[in-house]
Amino acid sequence: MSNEIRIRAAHRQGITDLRVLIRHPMETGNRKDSGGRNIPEHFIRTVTLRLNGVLLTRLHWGPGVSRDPLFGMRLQQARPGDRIEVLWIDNLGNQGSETAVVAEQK
Amino acid sequence: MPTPPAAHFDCDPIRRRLLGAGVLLAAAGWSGLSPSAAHALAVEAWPESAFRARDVVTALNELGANTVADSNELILKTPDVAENGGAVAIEIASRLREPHSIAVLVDRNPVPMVLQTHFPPGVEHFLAIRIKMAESSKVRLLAFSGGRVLQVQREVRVTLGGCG
Repeated sequence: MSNEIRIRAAHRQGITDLRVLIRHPMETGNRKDSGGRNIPEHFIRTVTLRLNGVLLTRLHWGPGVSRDPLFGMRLQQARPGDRIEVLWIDNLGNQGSETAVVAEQK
Repeated sequence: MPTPPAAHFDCDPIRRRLLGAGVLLAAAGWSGLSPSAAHALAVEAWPESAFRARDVVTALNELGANTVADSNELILKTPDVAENGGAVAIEIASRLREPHSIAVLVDRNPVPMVLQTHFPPGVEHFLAIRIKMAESSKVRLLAFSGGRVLQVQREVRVTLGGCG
């Protein structure tokens, strides 16, 4: 499985607009493959966000979040040059993480 | 009957362990622990019992949201009609001043509980995300704030289900 995370963190007028895209199948466990076999559930449970190494918040998900999850949040304390880390863990124990630096948006 | 603060996560084994050890609570100062601080602790662990629920009434019970008050401080933007239930873009916002936790549920999904997060100080009360909808359903946004559970709900018509 690819471990691809794309993060965009754009600071403008005091607010950092954070957008995160994670490649993940987010299988519900209700689908069948072409051979009629059940595809087991496989979804991200928790996404952890850190700002300069300090825990900001977590998002807890079930299989009801769309495949290749895309989400946006707005941070009030992040400044250009700050580091934002995104770490996910799924129900099978797989993990992925990526760090992005907040950029000033003109 | 009023809902005791944060009671909705008491079934969570990790939180129970933390409570038992008292480590974080001692650090936070037990006497001064506000309900929102309790939620901040509670949001640490994946709320398994709510995600295991297969109907929305059970999920709401597991969240301690048996009694909810409709609130115009919460904003839930959804499309009226979603052509693809596999990816329905929603936006959440709240005008509550204090930090709080939120949850999103889709009543008629096989797993109604969709997500939960916490808005701490420094994070705007805003989340945009794409969710799955198996069929036309009510979508609920709940906010857990100061021992209260607030709610706003929107009906979304789905023309092609996305939970299969």
